[in-house]
Parts: sequence; C-alpha cells; structure tokens
Amino acid sequence: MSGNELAPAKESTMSSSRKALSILIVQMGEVEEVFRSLMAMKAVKHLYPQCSIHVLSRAGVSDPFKRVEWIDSVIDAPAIAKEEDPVAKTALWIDRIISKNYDILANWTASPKRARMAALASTLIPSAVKLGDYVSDDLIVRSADAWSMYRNAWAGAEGVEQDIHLTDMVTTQLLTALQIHAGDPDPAAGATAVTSRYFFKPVGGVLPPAWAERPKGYKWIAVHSGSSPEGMNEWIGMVLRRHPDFAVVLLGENHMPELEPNPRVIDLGSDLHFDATISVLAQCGWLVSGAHPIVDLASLLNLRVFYCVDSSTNGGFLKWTESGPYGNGHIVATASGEWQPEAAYAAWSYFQSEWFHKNSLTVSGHFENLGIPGAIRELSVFQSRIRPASEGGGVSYEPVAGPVPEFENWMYRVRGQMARAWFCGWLPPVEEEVARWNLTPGLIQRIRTLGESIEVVGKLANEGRATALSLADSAAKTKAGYLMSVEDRAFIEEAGRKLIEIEELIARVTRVEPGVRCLLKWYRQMVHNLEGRTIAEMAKETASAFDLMSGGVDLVNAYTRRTLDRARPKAVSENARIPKEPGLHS
Amino acid sequence: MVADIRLLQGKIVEDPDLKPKNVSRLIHELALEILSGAEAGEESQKAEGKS
Repeated sequence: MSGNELAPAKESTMSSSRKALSILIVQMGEVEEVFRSLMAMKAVKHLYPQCSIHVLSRAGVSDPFKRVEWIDSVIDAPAIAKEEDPVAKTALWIDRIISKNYDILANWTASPKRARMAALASTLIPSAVKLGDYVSDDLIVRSADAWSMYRNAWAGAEGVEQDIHLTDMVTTQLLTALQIHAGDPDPAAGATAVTSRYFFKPVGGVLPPAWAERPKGYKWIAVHSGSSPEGMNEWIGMVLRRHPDFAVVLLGENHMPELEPNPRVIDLGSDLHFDATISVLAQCGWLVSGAHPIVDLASLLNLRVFYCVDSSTNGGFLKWTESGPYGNGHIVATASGEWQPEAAYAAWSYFQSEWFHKNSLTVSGHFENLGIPGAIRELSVFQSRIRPASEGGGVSYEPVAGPVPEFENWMYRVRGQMARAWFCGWLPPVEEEVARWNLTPGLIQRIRTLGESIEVVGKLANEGRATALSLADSAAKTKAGYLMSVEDRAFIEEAGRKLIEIEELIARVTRVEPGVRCLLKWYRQMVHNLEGRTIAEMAKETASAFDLMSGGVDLVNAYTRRTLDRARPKAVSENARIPKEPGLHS
Repeated sequence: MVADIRLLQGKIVEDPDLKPKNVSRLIHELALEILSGAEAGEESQKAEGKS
C-alpha cells in the first residue's frame, strides 16, 4: 500500500475480479490542486494499474498532467477568443468530449473560483459513475458522494476544524468507489506502474547559468521567498553563519535585497520553467516555504518541507491542515504572534540535526541550548506522518513542541475519526487513542462541558430520525405522493414543521457550544443533497442524515467517556508502580 | 458503525448516453464560466505583472 489513503470501507459489494475501468479526473482548479491530484492519482494507479486514467483540466495549469507517463490523456477546457461565440465553441468542445464514455468520473476541483465550471463539465460528460460535485436539474451544485459532502461541509476556511487532508479525501473517495465497482486492489501489480526515476517526463531545457555553475560541495536549501514570512532574510543569515556546509537557493519574486552578497546564496527569481524548478528541487535537501504550489510539488518529489504558517499572510480557501505538505517528516511551524526568525531557525535546526541527537534531545531542550527557551511559547511545531491503516491512515500533523490548543486538538482528532467511522466503517481504537492525550484540568473541564451539549444533540437527532421515519411512512401510503386524506396532509405538514424545529434547536445548541457545529453542518450538507423525488424518499434520506448524526454523537460520547475515565482517580495498592504518563508534548 | 455504500459508490447513471434534461442551459452556463474564468486569469496575470 502506498499509505496515502484512509482505511478502506469494510462493507462493499466488491467483486473478486478486478476490472480495467476508465477514469476521468476533473481537475480544473489551481496549480496546487493539480499537484495534490497527482499525489492521489499516483496512489490510485499504484493500486489499480489496469485502470486507464484521463484528466480534464485547463490550459495554463494542465502541463504537469501532460508530463506524467501513466496518464492516458489530458483534455483542456476550450480557450475562447473574444470574437468567438462562447456557447457555440463550448458546445462543439463538449460534443467532441462526449464521443467517449468513462466508467468513473471524479470531480476533484475544490477551488471556489472554478468549482461551478468543473461541476457543469462533470454533469455534461457521460460516465457510468460520478463522484464529486455536479449540477442537478435545478442548476444547483450538489455532491454525488459522501467525501464530497464532507469536504463541502467541513473543509475550507469557512468549515470546521478537522484533520483530514484534501489529498486523503479524494484518494479515499476514488479508492473506495473502485473497491466497490472494480474489485479489490492489487498493490503488487502496480509497484512498477508509478515508480520511475522521474515522476515527470523530462523534456530538457536549459538551466539558469547561476544554478548550473553553482559552487559544489554544499547542501542546498530552496527558499521560496515570495511566500515565506517576513524576516526570512534573517533566517537565511542564521543558517549561513551557523552551518558552513549549507547554501541557499532563492525561488520566487522576492529578491531579498537586504541579504548581503554571498556566493552561498543564489537567486533564481520567479521565471524558472517547470523542468528547471524540478531540477533545482531535486538537488536540494529542504524546501522552506509558506503557502504556495511549490509545497505540493516538493511533496510530490519527496523533498522535505519546512512549512511556515504565518497567520497574517496564510490565505487560501483551505486550512493548512488540509493543504499542508504531504508525506512523512515535513515540519510545520505556526506562529501565534509575530513571526520570529530565530525561533523558526531553532525549530528547523532541531530537525536538521536529527541524525546527530537521534531524538535524545527535545525541541524545547534544543531551544534552551540555543539560549532562547522562551521562544518556543510563540511557535507551535508539528511533524507530518503517514498513519498506518490501523490508526485510520492518511497524513497527520503531530504536535512536537510549542503551545497547542488542547481542546481544539482533541476535537480535531474526534472529528477525523467520525468521518472514518461514517465513510470507512472503521472504528477507532478509542482506548489507545485516548491514552495518548495529556490530560490537563482545563481540557477535562472543557470536555465535560461539551458532553452536556452533545447529549442534547443526541436526543434531538433521535427525535429527528423518528419524525423523519414516521413522515416517510405516512407519505408512502399514497402511491401518487400528492393524493392524500386531510388527516395525512395535516400530519405531513406537522412532521415537516417539527423537522425544521429540531434543526433550529440543534442550531441553538451549536451557538452555545461551537464544538458541535460540525454535526449541524454535516446534517445541512446531507439535506442539501437529498436525491429523493417524493416526500417519502426525501424523508427516508433525512432519517439517514439523523442516523449519521447519532453515530457521530456516539463516537464523541465514547471519546468523552474514555477520556474522563482516565482522568478519574483510581485506587492503587501501596506497592504498585505508577507508570509514566505518555504526554503529547514530551 | 457500518459505512453506507449508497453514500460511497457515487452517483450511478443508468444510461450515461442520455443527455441531461437541460443540456443547452448547462452548456450556456459552462460557456459563461469558462469566459469569466479566462477573464479572472487575465486580470490576475496583470496584477502579478504590476507587483
């Protein structure tokens, strides 16, 4: 297994034989989404090498797709000149595309600017199975599967805190669908399909002379100057002073004029062509960058990333936990206040010297050795890790030093596991998970408060489910769906009103306890995507939405119970040895 | 908890060759989206050029 997918669904109608399906990935978003999609497609091709993969993208961002040997075809959206009739041109383009039928179409475009365009194209292109967002008959964008609903409900800056990376969402979405429609995967067969010396076919091109003639014998750090936080020049100065074996190559539009001329600093600017960028990154040991597509490219090329999250500049439509560097061993540093180059240097140098201290030194200890013990209070440091399937799979950013909001972090984990339980049928080993938490009085108190609200939401979800089911029963009595007795009509109206009331009551609870907002958002997303054509069908789907909400409540309750159990004082014999508490921030 | 296959399998299209009901409206909307996307791209390129 390539590792970058969540635990697969347990229940499926999978067939024993694997089918060679044709898959169309619709990725019309920004270039960072292209790289993220490639990461997910690599895992899919690895597990299902017999499937052909095609891509629908748009000119200007689709080049990386065209450079991957195992992608069978790449279609670009039409470029429409000003004098052309846009509708006629688009109709011709669609006409050409629909000459081929796909088995599975997966719309992975998440960028809000391009989402509607991709949803419209996904609706028009014929395919036996559709995943992702599409446009329904009433011209509203809806989601065809659970993972897309999840992304729309929880991911993004407007969503709720959750810990599933966008790459994991789309990988798991497609792999689960393939398991259902094509059969079990065959990782052994695909081992060679995606493993080659180059991820992208090299097409040559001249390297900038400054890089081609660079001084030899140095370890190179690529710094993306355009996205790095303020003070990066100071960070570079510290590296150059304290690490004579390192040199820095600057990429990006910020030329850092304040840096003193140094033969160990090369500025390649922002005009590098794709091949040159890959060639430069391949020669580097680190990429230091803020939010920028180069981070996703580096992840794809297995280059270690030191990712600087500066809350004042880190924009984008996703949270860093959903779009950060993907893979093992990347470092993420987030500053709670002003960005401190010295603290960032201390964090980077700790991981750079891992081979030397072999984790015998803590990050905090390293900060002390550098004479800045207090700086760690301003910087939270996380290390990325691909979790084994037994822990739910996917990438996770584990806190290694600095302040971490305890309750939010606890909720992150619970919400992520909720999704795994809903969509993968995978139940987290709660005991083991809870045993890893460093329980403080503040966290315990906060979890207790949450427990009260979650109990109310659980009761409301059960009531909602019962109401939706009785509404479905009553509506199903009449075959036509609109011919009914006055009593039945009154009951249906009453049940409909009650469902709205229940939703409003849940909304009220979320205003008091934002920790449960995720459940309301999920319910609303599911209701937005009801597919039923009659009241009875829609009521059944509403009952399922309440069912999932109840399942989520059960999981939060299980976490809460086990966490509070651990906090409860236990009687021990006088001679018993007390084991050391494993803490998160040791 | 058992995963609900109906939510995971995607939207099953009975007859993929059958065109959507409002195909001309969808094409019209798509054309507008492609045009507005191209304009947005031009503007952001201009802005990048200025910076």
